[in-house]
Amino acid sequence: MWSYEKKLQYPVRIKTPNAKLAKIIITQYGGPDGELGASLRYLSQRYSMPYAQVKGALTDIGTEELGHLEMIGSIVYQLTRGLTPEEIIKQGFDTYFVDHTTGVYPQAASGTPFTAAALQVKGDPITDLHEDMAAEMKARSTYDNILRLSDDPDVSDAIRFLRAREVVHYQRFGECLRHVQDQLDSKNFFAINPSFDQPQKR
Amino acid sequence: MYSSNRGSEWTLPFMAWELRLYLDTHPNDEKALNAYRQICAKLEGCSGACRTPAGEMTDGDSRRWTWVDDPWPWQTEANLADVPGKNESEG
Repeated sequence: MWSYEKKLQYPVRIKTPNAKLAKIIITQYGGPDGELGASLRYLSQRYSMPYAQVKGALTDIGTEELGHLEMIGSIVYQLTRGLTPEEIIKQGFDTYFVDHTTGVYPQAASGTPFTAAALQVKGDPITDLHEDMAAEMKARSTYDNILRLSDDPDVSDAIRFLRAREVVHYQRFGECLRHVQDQLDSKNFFAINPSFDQPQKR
Repeated sequence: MYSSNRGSEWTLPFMAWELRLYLDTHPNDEKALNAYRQICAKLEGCSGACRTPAGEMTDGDSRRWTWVDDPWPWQTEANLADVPGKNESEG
C-alpha cells in the first residue's frame, strides 16, 4: 500500500502564468509518454515479474512516477492561475478551458484523453523491461521537446529535473534487464518466458 | 542543469531516494547501503524516502538491502499471518 508525503519531490515555483505552455506540458500528465502511463505500466508489470530485485525497482520507480505526475499537475496549475477569459483565448487555452475550466485533466497536448493503449503489460520480463527502457527514452524525448518550446526559466528548471530522472530510470531498468538475462538458460535465451514457461514454485 | 542549491528540505530526501533506486538493482552494495543509512539518520524521524518496512532501520546490522527480498505483498506467502480479531468477529 502507499502513504502520501505532503511535499513535491522537487519544488515548482512559477512566477508568470502561461496557458499556452500549460497546454503543451499537460501531455506529460496524461499523454502517451506521460507520468500517469509510466506509473501504471511499472506498478502493473510487477505481478508477473519473477525476480525480487526487479519487483523492487518497478515498485520504487512506479512510485516515483506518481510523484512526477504531481509535479506536472503543479506546473499546469501554477501556469493557469488568475487568467482572464481574454487571456485564455489569446493564449490558445480556450479549447481546453471549455471542457475542464482550469482543472487538471489527464490528456495529451492534442486533447486526446489518457488511454492505457499507450502502455503494455506483456507478462514477459524481457519484453516488459525493453518496453520500460523505451518508455523512459520516450519521456526523455518529450521533455527535450518541452525544453525546446519553453521560454520560462521557472518551468524549465523543474522540467530539467524530470528529464534527468528519466535518464536515471533508464539506467536502472537496463540493470534489471541484465539481471533477468543473466538468469536465463543460454540455450533458450529469447525463446522462453521466465514468468510463464518456468514458473517460480507456488 | 537544474538548480542544486534548493536546500536540504529537498536535497537529503532526494539523496536517500536515489540511493534507494540504486540499492534495488545493487542490493549487495554495502557502501551504498551505509550511505543510505547515514542519510536516513540525518533525516528527522526517518520519514519520506527513508520509510522502510519494519526491521530495515532497526536491523542496522544487515549487510545487504533486504527490502527487495521476497515475498512481495501480492504473493500468498506475505498474507499468511492471522488478522487480529478476525475470528472473534466471525464467531
